[in-house]
Amino acid sequence: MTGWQKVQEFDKKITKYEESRTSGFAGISIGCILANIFSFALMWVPFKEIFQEIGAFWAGFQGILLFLGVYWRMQWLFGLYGNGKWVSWKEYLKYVPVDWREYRRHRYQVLFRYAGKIFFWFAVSQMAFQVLSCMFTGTAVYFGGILYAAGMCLGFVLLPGMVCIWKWC
Amino acid sequence: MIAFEHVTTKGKGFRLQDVSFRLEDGYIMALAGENGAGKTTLLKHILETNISYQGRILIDGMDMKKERNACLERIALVSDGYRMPVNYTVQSVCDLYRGFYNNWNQEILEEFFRKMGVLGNEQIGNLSRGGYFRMQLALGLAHRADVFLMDEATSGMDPVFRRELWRFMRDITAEGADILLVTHILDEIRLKCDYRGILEEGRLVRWEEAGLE
Repeated sequence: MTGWQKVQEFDKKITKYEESRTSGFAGISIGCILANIFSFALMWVPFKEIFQEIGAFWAGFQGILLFLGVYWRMQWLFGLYGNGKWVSWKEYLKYVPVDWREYRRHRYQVLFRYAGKIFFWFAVSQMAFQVLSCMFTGTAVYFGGILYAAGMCLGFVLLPGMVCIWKWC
Repeated sequence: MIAFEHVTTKGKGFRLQDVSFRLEDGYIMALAGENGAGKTTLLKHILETNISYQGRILIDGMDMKKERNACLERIALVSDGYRMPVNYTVQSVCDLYRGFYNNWNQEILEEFFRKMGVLGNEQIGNLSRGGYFRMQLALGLAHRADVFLMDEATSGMDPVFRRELWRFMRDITAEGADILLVTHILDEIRLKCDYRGILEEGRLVRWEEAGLE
């Protein structure tokens, strides 16, 4: 087994474990979709103003969760918390037969995959609810939103993801 | 087999000076000396990449500098300084390490856990010191290490654990492993080890069969 196969093997197991241990990125992705449902429903269905505000706050709250999720994954890229402080993966794997650079390369790949998953769902749910917005408002203005969301998908996820994977992985 | 050939640390500060010894398979060597004599530093020379030294460290005939990964496949470390993610369970740490070793044997690991009463779902941060050492021994056994480096593994332990550990050490040396044990316990050095080395200010001042007075 080559070093690269070893880290891939490791990834399968540990990522599964990480996802079961925390709500994980799947949860955050669903959070994005729910945030959109709530905020758009509350903002566009002509309820009282207070509901529109709640909708906006809810969306903001989900935005913070999204940020924390990305931040948490960034932390995981470089290490884990141990004994009350942050400890790098290099420290954890100091005595294990693996090339550190190979492992770092793998970490980047994991990061991009998960960040990609979040932004993908975020953008897809944006597109879906922009469509709903069109239906509610009865105008074509929000087709701009659909293009914007599609652009997010392409611009923030696919292209940089491909470039980064090509460059580092 | 583990061998040091004229190992001298490069640079300033505390350094090992011309340390040479050779430990054949199936033997236990105790490394003793005052605090700060260089015992743990000697282990660090074997394992860490950020210490540069002259001379050679050989593991089963392979140069540690040139074939580091192959050497690490054969080395197990038992030490307080061995970090593992504290919020992971014993089982998930085993999953983590399994991916990195070619000779991993899951059956040996599970049998050892059963024999020693180690629970797979216990968190690393909640393990006692004895439990933590058992865990490290299990990892070493599972990846079929034949060089065990133990940094004060018997110090501060209750007699039951020490007896258990010594039985374990005799079992693995009977199968051809060799053990480099850093210890302060004189009785152990005199009665239980095969060789002893005394370090003083980074020099190996004595290297002889243990039990000789």
